[in-house]
Amino acid sequence: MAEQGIGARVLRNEDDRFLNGRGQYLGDLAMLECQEVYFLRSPVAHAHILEIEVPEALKDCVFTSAHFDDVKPIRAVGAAPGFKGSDYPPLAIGKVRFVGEPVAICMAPTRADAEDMAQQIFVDYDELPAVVDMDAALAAGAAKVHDHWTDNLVLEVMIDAGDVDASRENAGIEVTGEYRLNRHAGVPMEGRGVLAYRDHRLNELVVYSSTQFPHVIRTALAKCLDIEERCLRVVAPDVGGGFGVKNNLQPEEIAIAALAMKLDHPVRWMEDRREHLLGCAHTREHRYRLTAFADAKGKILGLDADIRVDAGAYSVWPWTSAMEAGMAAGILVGPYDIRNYRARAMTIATTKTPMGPYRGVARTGACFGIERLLDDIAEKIGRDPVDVRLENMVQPGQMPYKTVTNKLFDSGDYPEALRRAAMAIGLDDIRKRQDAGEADGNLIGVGFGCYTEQTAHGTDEWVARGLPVVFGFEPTVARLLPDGGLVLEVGIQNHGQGLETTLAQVAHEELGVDPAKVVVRHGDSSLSPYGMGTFASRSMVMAGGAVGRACGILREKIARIAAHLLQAEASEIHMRDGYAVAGERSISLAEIGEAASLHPERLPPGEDPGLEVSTVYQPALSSGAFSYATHAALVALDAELGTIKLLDYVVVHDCGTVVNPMVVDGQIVGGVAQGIGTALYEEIPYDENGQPLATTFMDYLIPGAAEVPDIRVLHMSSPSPHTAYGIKGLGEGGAIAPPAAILNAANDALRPLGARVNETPLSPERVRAAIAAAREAAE
Amino acid sequence: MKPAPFEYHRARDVEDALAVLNSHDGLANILAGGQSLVPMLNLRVAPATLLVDISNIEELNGSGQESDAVTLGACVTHAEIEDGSVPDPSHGLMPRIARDISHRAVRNRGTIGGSLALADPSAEWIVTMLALDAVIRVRGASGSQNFPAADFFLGTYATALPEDAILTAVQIPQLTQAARTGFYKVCRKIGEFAASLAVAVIDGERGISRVALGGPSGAPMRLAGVEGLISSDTRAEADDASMIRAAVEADLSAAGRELGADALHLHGTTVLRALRDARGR
Repeated sequence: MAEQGIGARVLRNEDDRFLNGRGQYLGDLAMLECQEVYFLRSPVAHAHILEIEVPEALKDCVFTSAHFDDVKPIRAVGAAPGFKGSDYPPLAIGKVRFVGEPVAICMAPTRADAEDMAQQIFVDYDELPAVVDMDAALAAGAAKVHDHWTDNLVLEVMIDAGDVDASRENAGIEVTGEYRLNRHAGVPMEGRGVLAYRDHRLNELVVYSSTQFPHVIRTALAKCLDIEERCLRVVAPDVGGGFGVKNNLQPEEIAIAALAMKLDHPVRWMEDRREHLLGCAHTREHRYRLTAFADAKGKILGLDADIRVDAGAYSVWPWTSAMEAGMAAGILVGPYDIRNYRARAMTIATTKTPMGPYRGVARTGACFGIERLLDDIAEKIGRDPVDVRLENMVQPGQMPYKTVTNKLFDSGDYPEALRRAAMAIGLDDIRKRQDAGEADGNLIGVGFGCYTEQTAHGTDEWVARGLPVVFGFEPTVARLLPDGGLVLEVGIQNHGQGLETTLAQVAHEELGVDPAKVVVRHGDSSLSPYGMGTFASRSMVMAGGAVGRACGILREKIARIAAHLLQAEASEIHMRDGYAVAGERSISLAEIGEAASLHPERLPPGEDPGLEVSTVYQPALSSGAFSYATHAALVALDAELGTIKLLDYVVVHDCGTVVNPMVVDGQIVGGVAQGIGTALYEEIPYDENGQPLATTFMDYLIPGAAEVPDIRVLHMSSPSPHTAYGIKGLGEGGAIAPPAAILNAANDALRPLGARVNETPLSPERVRAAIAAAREAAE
Repeated sequence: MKPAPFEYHRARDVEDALAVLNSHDGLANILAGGQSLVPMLNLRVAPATLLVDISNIEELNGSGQESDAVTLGACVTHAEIEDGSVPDPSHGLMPRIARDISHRAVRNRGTIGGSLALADPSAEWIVTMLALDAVIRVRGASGSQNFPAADFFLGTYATALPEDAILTAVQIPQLTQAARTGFYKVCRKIGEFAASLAVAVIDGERGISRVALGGPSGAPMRLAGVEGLISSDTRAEADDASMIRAAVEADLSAAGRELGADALHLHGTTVLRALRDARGR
């Protein structure tokens, strides 16, 4: 039999339903008498609501905040001193704070009817000044996003480690750069959606939601609705991508659940693309002003950072609006050995869509900042950017390494990943090619982006971040059925990660069971034990560890039963290909399962019947397993048009023990595709009135098949010393480095023209503007 | 993103379509491929109380080769032009341009007549028809009319199509075998609308030197100054990029299009590349 355990290339159990179009998403649920909801959303950025006029004929099917007096708002307040708290009501109360904020529910037999209703509702808005820009938000006299605040600064965090002033005096080189990422959206293929109804038989409210963490949503929803958790069931059916934007408590979740409590029929809301771009959490809007104090070889002696994040109008639960800036400041030093570090991280509120987690979270911004700065240092001292990175990187001999901000890098060889990436992209040949020039007149450039990715962090890290919830563990119930099949009930949620297969591979590792005979149940608060869900690159480590532990306990009992039936010692038993084997003798898992469940008389004396284990797992060290990678991009830049083409893209990646190489490669390539979106295409600009200017795919560009080159993924493997099997998480990594690598490559290409680009997405307009500015400066 | 209620009529022929269109007491719209109209309806930015579907009208789906021209019915799709399943008067130019329109799924349904009637300033066919000096045929309650392309496109989403009429066909003069054609389009990614596009048609036997430019706003326009440069057949001058760029600027300025330096640079580049494309063929 082919290898099926950890490390094997096993085809996914999910393939049959996903590749044949039989997935069951929120829109596929067929419920009798279900009514559809359209949310009337604010068309203005900032206004008092004076009146909502609903025609008499619609009174029974239009609902505003006045109908939900007893529903509590979202309240995500960070533990950091000075954090300015605010309420995020599911439907606006008295005031709207961003274009797209839900104002009223329109309910009808069809979505089109509900949209017709919305056109008959008149909302009288008394407009207030929009707060669109971070600088303007902090200016004296700026309109306040929340009236009870003193200003729009949600939180300011300061870090001062080592002695930056001394490093400045010792440094021969000082380089300052300003780097900026613009705001964009998450854009999973399936938008958000909620369906809810009352189940009178079980006395529970059933809420289907396209979410990444159903158990946690149940806890949060129960509080908002003031009902007991036992009377609430939350189900995430098949979820068509999450990427973090389905990892928040959504206002629409509360609104639909609260509405269902008033009704005697199901009610459903499905987000369309326009609503998604307007109303779903945005991402990435970071600004960095960084100064490096370095020696003549480019070794950074000290780093001074000013980080600003536009968090939009509200704080998302449970992450809080300050998570991005705090994380960015905490990880800015990247994989580099920088001991003197000072940072100010500001979270600023504006009248724009709230910012929430998105694949990579703050790491994409931090990586962009430090990696652009390293290239600027290299240019200043005239060294190759690869050499300057090698000069600064944490060396394998320093592992385990505690960063200046107390992140514990557990293992790995960061310089080797960079060297391999430089080799694979063909750095030396590219330099020769650049000297010779391109036949088509384009400019080519190569760029690198290196990062570490804290994954599967547990109790200590989340406590340190001061969140309302601490995501410390994952559970598993493992049950061997009488026919030898295995059921795994887990608390994570599988929305494209292949976890129904990779967790089965872990079970195979312990029990020898065919992964195709393992069913992984997840995403339903009534079906699986309480768990935290899938986010923060945690599920393979956490749920993988829990499955391994549960199956290990199960194996001990199986071995005792098998030993009894085979007349062998338990210590002789090995699990192989669906059998318990002792020397020449063997017995199938089916026979063992049958004995345990249906024939207790066959069990050893004193052995309890049944084969079921419930357990939990948390890593030995909860500060996280650090994956890392170097991305290398080769671009061709058409200086006349400002357009960029990706000629080659290499990822050298280390996520410790790989459970399924095909799944890992898929995660990395998918992440890179999204990172290319951040780097080159995706953006939601706002005008001065706070109106978003990209609200459909006409204006909002995402990379398509033609824009994503073949991504070449090369692997290294440094198993984590702290996790089961040495697995490290990897779900987000692909999306972290592309803006850094691609813009570094673009700057490398632009060097002969003296032009610089430091802002994502790198549109042709921005490239042409940079070239024009350089030309003017030269004149 | 669901449309407001509307009535729907599938027309048997042009007369039937015109009769329903002109007897409707509200906002009637012609539906052909629906690739622009339907998204606009879904966004509720194009209100319509009646859609008259002309896509099944046999006459509008036909095409014909005449001695010196090709006529394409309004409902001929981009895909049919791309695939060569209708006659090509343009010596390969039109199939090449069709291949670059949006994505295949859109090309399968989108029609040349719909594109011309909508006159999105960034669209391909309006510029191409101007460069090929096509004649646009319309039929209304008061009979048929022919518009030279130069008189048909009036501005952003604005044409000379009378409100009570339907665009039925486009007649495109046949180029000779010696004709050289060029095309260049700038867009952020494959399938997007263009920020600038230029079409060059040079047919010495017929004394044709035409360059048409389209962009993000306004009607497509012929560039008389550029045409003058390339028709004078002084190769050295025509090769001079700065002369071409200056001519593009002068032509735009003469047409009252006041553009910034970046837009002028972009359009100049597009024209240069379209001319280079034509010379390479």
